[in-house]
Amino acid sequence: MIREKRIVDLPKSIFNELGWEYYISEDAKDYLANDLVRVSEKEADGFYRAGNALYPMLVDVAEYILRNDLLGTTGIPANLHQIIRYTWENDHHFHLFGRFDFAGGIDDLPVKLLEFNADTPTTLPETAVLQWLQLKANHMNEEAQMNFVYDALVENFKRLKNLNRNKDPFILFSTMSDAPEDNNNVALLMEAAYEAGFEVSFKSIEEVIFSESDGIFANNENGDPVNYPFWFKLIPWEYIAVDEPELAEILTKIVTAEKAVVLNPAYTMLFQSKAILKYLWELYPKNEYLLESDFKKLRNKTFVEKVVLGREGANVRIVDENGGVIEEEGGDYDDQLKVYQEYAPLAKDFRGNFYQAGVFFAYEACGLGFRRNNHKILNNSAQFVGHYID
Amino acid sequence: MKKKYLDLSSGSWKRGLPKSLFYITASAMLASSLACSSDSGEVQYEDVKVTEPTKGVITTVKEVEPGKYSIIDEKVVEDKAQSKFIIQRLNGEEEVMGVAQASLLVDEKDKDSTTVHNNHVRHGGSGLGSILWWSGMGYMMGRNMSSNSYNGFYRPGVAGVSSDLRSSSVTRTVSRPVSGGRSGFFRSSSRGSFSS
Repeated sequence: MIREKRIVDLPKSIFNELGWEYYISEDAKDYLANDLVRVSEKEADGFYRAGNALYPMLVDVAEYILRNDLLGTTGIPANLHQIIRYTWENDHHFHLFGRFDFAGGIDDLPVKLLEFNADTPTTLPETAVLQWLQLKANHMNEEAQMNFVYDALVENFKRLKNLNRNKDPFILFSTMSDAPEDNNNVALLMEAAYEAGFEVSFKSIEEVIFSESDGIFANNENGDPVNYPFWFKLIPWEYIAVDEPELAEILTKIVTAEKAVVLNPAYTMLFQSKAILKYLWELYPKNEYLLESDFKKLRNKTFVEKVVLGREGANVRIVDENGGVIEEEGGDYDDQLKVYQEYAPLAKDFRGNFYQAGVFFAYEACGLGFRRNNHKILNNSAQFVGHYID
Repeated sequence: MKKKYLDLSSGSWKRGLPKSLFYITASAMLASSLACSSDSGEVQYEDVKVTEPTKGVITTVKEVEPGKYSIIDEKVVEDKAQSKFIIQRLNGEEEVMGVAQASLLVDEKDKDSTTVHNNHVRHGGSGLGSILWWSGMGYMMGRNMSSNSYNGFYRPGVAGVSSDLRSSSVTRTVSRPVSGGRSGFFRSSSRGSFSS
């Protein structure tokens, strides 16, 4: 049983001060839990080790997929394949950060990889800042948290800059308009990039200008286009591929002509596609952090059916060993390729909530947070729960 | 392909207190939020502009009496790298310098507009450093594009190139959120004030 500590809520005005009003908006009502999960040092070590062990495995598997011409089996749209291959081979297209989702890791349950959000991971402000503020607001030891996400991001922006010394350090950040939650994530990234020595700007993607011959531009206040050698988009690559195929084509030309570095790099789609779970298991069978996964239904065990590019629990089914559906979440992705992953139990609290751990990775595992729901498939109604180490 | 990540043999999640200014600022905000629960404040974006010329300048000065110079010609050239500073000495010799070499003649006091103006008025002329900084060449050395060149250094009838350079300059806009002027959270200039 998960052990929690009840805490006082953060004062509302801190969200105004931070400029992160989303968290006190009607849309996010009750999103931040007023509990903290108690995590032992040993459990924190376990999450840290799991993230650090898995990333090199993901890199090996991505290389395996590309070398063996298996990209076509991953469900990744074909119009991204060229840019994926190019960015993979050119290391200055640097992966800034991702977030592992784990089952277990606490409550005597083994840490098991559910998926890796490599392209557009969110919950950054919650993990990096808000749960730390919760410790402070409740007069708890602020070192008692596995959380150096922000510092790790600053270091990674510095690495990005050093890998691209031939480019001016001007970076443009974009979300889709009317995405307040995404904007908060980007605001924190902008702060980290700025601290790392980048000049930072923001424009929603609707206003960004893409030139296949010259690169990526946004108009300044005089209406003059300004070139940005770096562009961070909190917009999934597959949305670009499917909804705006012309943009995918232009970005491929821009990136392969080295007119801009687009982040996270297109190759993070390889990590993001849940098809990689099948290949991870193929290359590292019985690894302690992995669950059996295949493109075929698993026999004689409870499994989770997932679509390879699904988000927020959509189109997920949990099926027992006799083929009975235990739980099911609908969605818009049903026509996608499916992966079947062995079911791993989630830690529970006394109210019957199920917990999933999120571990951020930026050069190394650097921060832990939890999400919880009263059902096994966590969807966008899940709460964020911070933690403390004791 | 050589992806970067931590060597598995090292590392720990234990990092001590956060030291970044960002956290010091957030911590101060929390303290003030807990102390008084006022509400308000919309996030606004503040634009900081960085403007630079795209074209170059050739400025020619003539020594009118020993140690005193006047600008007799200034023109814009397409290529920034072709920028030159030409000095015609009293003895008839001509000296040509590029931007880097010319900038060695400029020191900090030459950049002070009040000092330059007063010296010029009082002494009826000025040294090369202040002429360089307050002519079109100054833009090549980083003078603010919105400042005007100093007319007193130009021979009557000779026009500076400020407006030509400005119209072809590029501006990069750095946009940062600020919290209604109340906290200055994302504004680097006000971070230092949260050091308590």
